[in-house]
Amino acid sequence: MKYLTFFTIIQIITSVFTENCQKPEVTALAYITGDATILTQIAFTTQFSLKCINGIKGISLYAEVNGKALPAVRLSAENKYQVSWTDDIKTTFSGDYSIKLYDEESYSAIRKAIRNSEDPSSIKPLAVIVLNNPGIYMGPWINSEFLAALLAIFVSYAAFSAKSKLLA
Amino acid sequence: MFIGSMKVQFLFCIAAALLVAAYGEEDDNDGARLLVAKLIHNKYLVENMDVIVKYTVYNTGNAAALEVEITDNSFDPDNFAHMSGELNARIDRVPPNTNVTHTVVVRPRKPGYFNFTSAEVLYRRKEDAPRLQVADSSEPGLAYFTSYKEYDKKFSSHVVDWAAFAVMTLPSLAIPFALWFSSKRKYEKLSRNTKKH
Amino acid sequence: MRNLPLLLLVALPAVILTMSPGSIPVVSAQEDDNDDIVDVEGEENSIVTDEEAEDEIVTASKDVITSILFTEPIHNPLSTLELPAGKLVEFLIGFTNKAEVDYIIETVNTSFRYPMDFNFYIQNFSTIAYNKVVKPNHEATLAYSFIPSDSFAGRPFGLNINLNYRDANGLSFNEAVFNETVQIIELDEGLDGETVFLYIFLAACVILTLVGGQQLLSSFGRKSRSTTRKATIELGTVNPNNVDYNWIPKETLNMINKSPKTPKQSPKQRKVKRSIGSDD
Repeated sequence: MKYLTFFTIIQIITSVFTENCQKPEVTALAYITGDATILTQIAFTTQFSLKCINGIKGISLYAEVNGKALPAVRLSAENKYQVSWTDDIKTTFSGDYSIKLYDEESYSAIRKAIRNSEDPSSIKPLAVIVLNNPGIYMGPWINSEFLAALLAIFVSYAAFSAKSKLLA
Repeated sequence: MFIGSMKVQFLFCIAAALLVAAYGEEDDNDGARLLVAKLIHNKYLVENMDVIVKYTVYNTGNAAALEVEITDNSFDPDNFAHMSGELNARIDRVPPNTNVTHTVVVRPRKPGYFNFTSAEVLYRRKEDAPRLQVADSSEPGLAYFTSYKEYDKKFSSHVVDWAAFAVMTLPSLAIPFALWFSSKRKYEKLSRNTKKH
Repeated sequence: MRNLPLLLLVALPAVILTMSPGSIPVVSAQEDDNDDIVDVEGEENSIVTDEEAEDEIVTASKDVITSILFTEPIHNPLSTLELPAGKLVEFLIGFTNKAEVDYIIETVNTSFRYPMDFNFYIQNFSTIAYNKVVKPNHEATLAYSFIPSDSFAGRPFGLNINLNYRDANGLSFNEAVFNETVQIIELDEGLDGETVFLYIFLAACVILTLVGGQQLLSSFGRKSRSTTRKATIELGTVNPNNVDYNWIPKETLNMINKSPKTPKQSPKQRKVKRSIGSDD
């Protein structure tokens, strides 16, 4: 419950000028399932709307997260997209996940660069959304039963040692 | 003359082949073929806690599926709070032999039985497909949302219960300790008194 | 020009054959028309080809296209399927209805069979009832999962996935969506962190109990020793007031020993002392 806060930091790289979308402006809303005690996988979802200064709408977007390519899914509202994926609980890390968004052109350029074993990082993404994972709740650190047992052992040890000191 | 006739035959054959190919375009084995899985990624389904619903679209055909639209009307807002992700999504292109996922997080508002039914997917088999293909996703099936109370009883850390237990055991420990401590203090006072003398 | 029809006769089937076999619209239309009538014939044909169970006298419908895809583990269709023992196996079945009537998908059952003879069952997995209606020209996907037993690791099995469905007229069909030999493999995972920590924790517990036990034993030993000592002291000292000197700290005892008479004390304090002593 404590981890339900929406964590979004948006970074916009505006230096990229493409024919399709100029000066993209991204406003994103993200949600990460924080309570792993009832889940088998962790879901990362982010919904964002893309606004281009030249008013271009309805372009296909592709996202890349940690080397994974995901197509951005278009939502019912105009220029709204969603990028979502699930990860194993063991492989998720807390910290920033940066979602790089590409349009069709730059995405194909990236594919080409990978195919030709060139450095794909030379192609600048349209925008970057940073998703902060504050950490996944995996359940309490120690069980309360365990704590109680520990406490009981401590109390009895104190009592016995006091008794033996008394009798010595 | 013979060569000329051969040419005609050849042309005819090509025409026939084209004709068959044109008909073949209508065939079912051609174009995109989608398998849509709807899966719930939860160990426990609990009222007012996250339920991850993941739609995965696999294209097993030999062409890209176009304008793939996933619509799931099975989570009505009366019974579910939509945490994140939309239940209506469109993917422009699913290339052959790839898969695309879409994840939605919902929270059931009430405990009780719930039947997860299929989502509907519309897509175009190929660019010039005359109509949209309708596909149903797999059904996760009947599930039971446990109430939060029940879940808490089973899986909470029980800190309050143990605290209550500690309080209840306190008298049996504290009373002898207090008695012993008071007598000890008295004795220490006595020994100090005797030292002074 | 005379041999033109002859050549056509040769060329056309060749052309048709190069296309996929189901692509001849004329033939499929014919099949569509007399599907209900011809059914008995079709059944008999398929019984011979299908290595199916004895009394199941049904076959696949010609208007239905099925496909299968293993999603867990991911499977390359060119190689034999390898299933890890004790791990979940998930697959999807695609069902396309090309007919003019509804089809109802009833059940899917999966079984392991003896790879040499598919009539010999080794293990039956649960039959799942779907009861899903597929309208004409619609598609449906079914999900099924099972876990192969750990004890089957390292052996080949015949995996048979069977789909049962019927059309709106009540005609039942049965199709083996998957009927191949699969290999059950054993996944040897190295020690993961969790188990290592579990072992460390267990070792720590054992050591803790040992230490605790030793402490307890030594304290008992000391106690018994002290009781014997107490007895000798009681015998050797004059104790007119029935005071247990064992309770009295050493400096007080020394003081008592120095002065033959008990130091002046208030009776109240003496009483307290006695009560503590008699408590033993």
